[in-house]
Amino acid sequence: LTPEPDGLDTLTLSRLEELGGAPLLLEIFHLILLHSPDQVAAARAGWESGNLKAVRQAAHSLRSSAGNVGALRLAAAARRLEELAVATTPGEAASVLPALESLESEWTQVRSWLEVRLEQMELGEASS
Amino acid sequence: LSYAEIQSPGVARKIKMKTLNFPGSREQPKLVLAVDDDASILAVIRCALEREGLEVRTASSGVEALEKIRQQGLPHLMIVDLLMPGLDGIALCSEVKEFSDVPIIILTSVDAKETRVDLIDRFAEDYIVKPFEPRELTVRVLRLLRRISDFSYAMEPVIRVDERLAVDLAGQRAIVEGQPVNLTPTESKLLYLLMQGASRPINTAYLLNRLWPGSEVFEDTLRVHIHRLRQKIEPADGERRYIVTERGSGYAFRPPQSH
Repeated sequence: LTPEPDGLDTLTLSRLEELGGAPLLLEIFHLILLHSPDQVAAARAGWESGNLKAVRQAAHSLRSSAGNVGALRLAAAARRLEELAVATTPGEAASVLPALESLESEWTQVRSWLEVRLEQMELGEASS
Repeated sequence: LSYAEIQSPGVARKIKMKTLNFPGSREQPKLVLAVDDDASILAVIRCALEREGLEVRTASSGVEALEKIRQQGLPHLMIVDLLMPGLDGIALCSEVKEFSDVPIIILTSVDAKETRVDLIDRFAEDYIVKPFEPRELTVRVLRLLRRISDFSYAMEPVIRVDERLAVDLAGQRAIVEGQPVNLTPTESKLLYLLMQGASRPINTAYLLNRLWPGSEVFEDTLRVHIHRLRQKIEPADGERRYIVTERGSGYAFRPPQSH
């Protein structure tokens, strides 16, 4: 199995597995991989167009999904971006960029882990 | 659905109008409507609650939730996220509470104390902050259903009380002897509360508190609304077939088959 990246709460994943077994985990991983890239892109597009409300909305959604699978560092990065987007005026949008980049970096790590874990689980299902 | 559509035999069969189930009748599975723009959260909620025998419907926005309520009827309980694109959770709750008293649990990442207090004060029965523990959500849902949502009839879009009266709570109207009669939001909510009592008397103070939370409204006002509701749904000969006054305690919704 792929080792969990730093900032991933294994207890949350265990609880989800206990609740719905592999099918639930598979469903959640699929859904996050399906929708989160759009949210990350929406945050970036929002920032580029100076639409901080869109940045906030996208960061908020990512925070929710990340928390659901125990991706603590991604959730924290999303929260930071969300709070900054609320507190910043459109004229100061540049100050939000480091938080946006941090979120993108955390998402890249979580996505890689999810993809590998998903592949392992699907292979495991296919062979059983 | 329009009134004409409801009346057409083919559609009426499809709607499967259901007669009220009063205590002693077979219990329906409780229906929960979960509203969140995060599909992964909805998957967890569905899994957790279906294990407990609850029926779960989901909506990914406030607009979709309202549409489902109009088409499929009110749920026994709602779980609502706050920040959603379009119609957000607060607007959705306000709208639903206009014409009903469905218990609502807020499930959100917004953890500001003021928001929590304000929403519990205005319309939420409970407030859970994400990330959440599915088992905790389940326990809170079950406790709430036991405590206040004794709405023991099936949540159909049009609830058939008896051969004379049907109620469309989301559409804010009654259908009396085949004729649609519009209800005001207060009348609709009042009817919901009385029906929720499933033939048991509902205390006047409770009705005042649920109809006008946080406001000082007197019993006379309630009496006026009861009077107007009776005028709309009771037989013209003055018979009190549905809403019965229970001296000293309040009112009960007691259609003939429950006597």
